[in-house]
Amino acid sequence: MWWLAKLGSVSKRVKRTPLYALHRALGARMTEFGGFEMPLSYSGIIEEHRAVRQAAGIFDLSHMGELELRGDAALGVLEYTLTNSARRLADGQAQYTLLCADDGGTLDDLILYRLGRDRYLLCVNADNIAIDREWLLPYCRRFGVELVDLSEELGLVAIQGPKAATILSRLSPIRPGEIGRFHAQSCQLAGYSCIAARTGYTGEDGFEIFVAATHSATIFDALLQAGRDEGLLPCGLGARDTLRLEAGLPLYGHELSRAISPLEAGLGAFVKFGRGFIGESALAAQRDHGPSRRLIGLETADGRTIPRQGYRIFQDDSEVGVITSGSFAPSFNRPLAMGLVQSRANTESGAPISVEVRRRMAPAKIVPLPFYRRSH
Amino acid sequence: MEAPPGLKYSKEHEWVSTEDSLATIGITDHAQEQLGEIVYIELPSVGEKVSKDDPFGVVESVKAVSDIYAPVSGTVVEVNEDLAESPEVVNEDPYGDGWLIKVRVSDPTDLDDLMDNEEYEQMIAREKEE
Repeated sequence: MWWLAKLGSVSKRVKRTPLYALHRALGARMTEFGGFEMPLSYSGIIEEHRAVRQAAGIFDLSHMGELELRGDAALGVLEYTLTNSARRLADGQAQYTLLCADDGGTLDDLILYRLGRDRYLLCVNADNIAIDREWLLPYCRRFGVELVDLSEELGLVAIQGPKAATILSRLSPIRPGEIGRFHAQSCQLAGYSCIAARTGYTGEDGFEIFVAATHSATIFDALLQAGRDEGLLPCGLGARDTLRLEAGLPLYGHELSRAISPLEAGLGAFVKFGRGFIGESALAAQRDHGPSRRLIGLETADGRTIPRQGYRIFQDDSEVGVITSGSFAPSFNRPLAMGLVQSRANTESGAPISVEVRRRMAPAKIVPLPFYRRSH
Repeated sequence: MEAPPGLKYSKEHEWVSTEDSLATIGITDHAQEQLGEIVYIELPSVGEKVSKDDPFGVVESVKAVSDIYAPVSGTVVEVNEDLAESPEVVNEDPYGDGWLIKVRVSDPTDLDDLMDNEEYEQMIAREKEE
């Protein structure tokens, strides 16, 4: 649990992104995440969270990894290693997908971009860059596909929120309306070549912008200046986490892990069977017999007690599961949580459960996921 | 904000102000700043006993759960009830309206182990260097 590590303390071996100096100048409180010293928040998690819901927020995501596959057999390697089928992706189109082991456990979840017929970009979790690369390398070698780790060279900046498109269009000749959801386009932004993708991790409309690491601070600052009068705020990983929790989006290490399959995490829509990919037979068995656990949303009855990752979930006096993520949810002004529970538990909306919080039982109930869906 | 003089401070970032054997306890400005926006506080009830260096309550910010440790042993005689509705007061006024509990101190020598404001400021400065 990264936020339980001593707040504000960062060990010596962690890396810094090219935006480090800018974060400090903006008054960010830093934290360690995925081997990087990253901003936890600038003006406060709640204020940043609300800026993204109501206007826009900008995030440094340079810690995320980028792997590129190049070669005629790139699609074949991806079809064999990823749970979602990339076969129907058009150039510039993206999809959410997962990397699984033979037993169906999840190695990583990622966004796959088709850059061209023989070029694909994988945007992966910072903690899993080396794992993904080493996992994919033997398959790439066998089929003559080049695997390039661009994580150091590429920066990633996200602008998210209902005003994101308006702000982006101030800096670029592109018309954001021409980039559909889960599509990406090459563009010039503040004079630099970028790839702008209409993707995100907040439950809002928005863009994730890949740019050479050397220019990422310029892009970040340009977007910040262009959006100030619209209410745009720089946002840290704290707000990123509360935003994705409200949107019911999984975070690797919480809702997904080597011991949790995509089906258990409720991500069956991103598993395409009948292609013979790694882990397919284990996942097919889970599909046929029903996964043994499922992901649920929950809220505590008093509207104050916060269930945190690792707290145990009970129903009718027996232990049925564990909290995977829980936090105060700023859009709802009360705590919300997700958890993995055994399938035998009653997981209907409103079903009573309890969460063990500091050796006491806190009454709670099941709430459908996602908690938040944008209306605009 | 610098730690005000006249209070005693613990290594766990609690402050104590004493009047005869009555100790008012809160968390320092440095502690609230490190925690971020406080959204929930769990405190003992009047009449409960607290033991020096043992946790007596919990402060939760959006991201973090932190135990609050008793800087002195004693019996709780008053609890800041307003914090249940408005925990953010601890962020806004940690040395004033954001106090947590008042304790009847059982052993006044407990206070001798605590730091004064200058010693506490030096400790924070050392932590920042590390």
